[in-house]
Amino acid sequence: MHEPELSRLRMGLVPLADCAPLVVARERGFFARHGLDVSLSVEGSWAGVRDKLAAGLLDAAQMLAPMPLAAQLGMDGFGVPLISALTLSRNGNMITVSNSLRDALAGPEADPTAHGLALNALLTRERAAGKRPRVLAHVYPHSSHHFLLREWLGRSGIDADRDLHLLSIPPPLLVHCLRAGQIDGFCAGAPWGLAAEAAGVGRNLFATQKVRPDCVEKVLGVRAEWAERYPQTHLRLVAALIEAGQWLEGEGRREEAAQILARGAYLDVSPQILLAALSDRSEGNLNPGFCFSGDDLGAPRSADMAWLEHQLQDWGEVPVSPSAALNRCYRADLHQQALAYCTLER
Amino acid sequence: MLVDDHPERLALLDAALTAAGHRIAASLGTHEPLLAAVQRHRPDIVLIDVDAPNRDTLESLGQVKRDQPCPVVMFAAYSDADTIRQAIHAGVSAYVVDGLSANRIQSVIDVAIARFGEFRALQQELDDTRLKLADRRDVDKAKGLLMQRRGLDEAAAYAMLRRMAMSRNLRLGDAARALISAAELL
Repeated sequence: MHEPELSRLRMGLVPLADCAPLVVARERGFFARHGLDVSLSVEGSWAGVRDKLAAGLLDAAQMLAPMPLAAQLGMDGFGVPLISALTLSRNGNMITVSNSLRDALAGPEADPTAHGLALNALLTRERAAGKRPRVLAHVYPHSSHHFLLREWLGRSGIDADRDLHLLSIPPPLLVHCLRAGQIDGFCAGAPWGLAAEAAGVGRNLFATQKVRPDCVEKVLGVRAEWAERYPQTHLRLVAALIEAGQWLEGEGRREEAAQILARGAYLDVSPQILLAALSDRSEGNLNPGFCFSGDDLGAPRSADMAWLEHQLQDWGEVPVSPSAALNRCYRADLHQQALAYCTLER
Repeated sequence: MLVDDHPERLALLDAALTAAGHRIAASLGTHEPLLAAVQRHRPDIVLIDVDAPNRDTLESLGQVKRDQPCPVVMFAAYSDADTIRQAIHAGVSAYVVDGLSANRIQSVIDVAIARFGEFRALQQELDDTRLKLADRRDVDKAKGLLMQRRGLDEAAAYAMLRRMAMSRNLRLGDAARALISAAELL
């Protein structure tokens, strides 16, 4: 086996419960096992992750699933081609609203259809009364959160562009904005919905796995040019993260991961909230439902890609047909290679 | 419009841009409501710390063009890859409104890169000075330990510390700190 071309890497992440595979890969020695010394850089925004990856300040990063496609299509403003050979996580998002909006929606607990219809009725009444449109936040234009929010609103008969204002706010600022009344609700990754509820400023409506189960969430992103220049390094990086994902699905590992994340102070929330986000113990429709591994869950899947493509075309200004770009950026072939490498090395 | 949490850097940037004939519509910190400021001041260009968390809010502005021209990340409007890379390395990102001339963008970005670079050099100098002070303090402490435990005079203690640093390929300050932390364990 060849040596990796690079052994010291810098990898970006955003403070969310699903940065767990990266932190576990570092703290439990999966990177080291493959000859990689990876330093993790906690970034303040997804735009910052994109810029630093594109400018070469980061070698690799945890990214929102649509980001590499947006980059391939030149929709992200940068246009430096990115690729992904690994889905780091699925599910994990929650729709959370202010206490007053939750009261106004009334109705049963954690039922996306009932909440959607109630919201539609409320918005119609408020529009008729000439009230200012409500504001809902997601975390980034090219994010599953944005797409899931639109999908839920659309199914409830709400036009996200006419009936509401949507905007992006980075996860760590959401609780503050909800408290300050700048937004009426948000769709964000765990643990931020739980943190808002714990702070008493909002209530969780439901987890987005009720809108779309097993939804592709975070991916490993690298520059296409980087992956070509350092194929052995990239292979090992993917392999180490596959192993970290498998580790996270073992008995009692989520609890351990929550402790590791809390110890490293990656997120500014209490250890109890991290545990609640990762442990998967909460009730049915409020369970974030994270998946970090299992069967083909880590591979870039065509169903995911078709969904991302559809969503981008639905609301965005897609310059060309994205199908060719999809195949260039979500690299199932490189994923298979890394899986084979894991098997050989075991 | 400038968005940054370092008052010294904001002051440097403000003075340099004003001197170059640009007008600063507003300066704010990264935790102030950015959206309201953009809507009120309608800047042609927003210079913002690369690490500012509220950048993602600017990203979504460019997606919705219904109200007014909104600033979008400069890379979309402006394609000099080298300048962009230099800006990110210096720690500054920019959002510009559609139709702003490449010359004006270039002029503002050049000033920003230079001032961010200058600020970084100042920070570095300050860090170096702090480090030197810390080194001197720790080297003195380590010398004291050696003198006390090994019965050496000051010159011999210093020579021993230097040999230790050279043989382990450490900086003198780091060797001193290793010795101090080892002494704490004994």
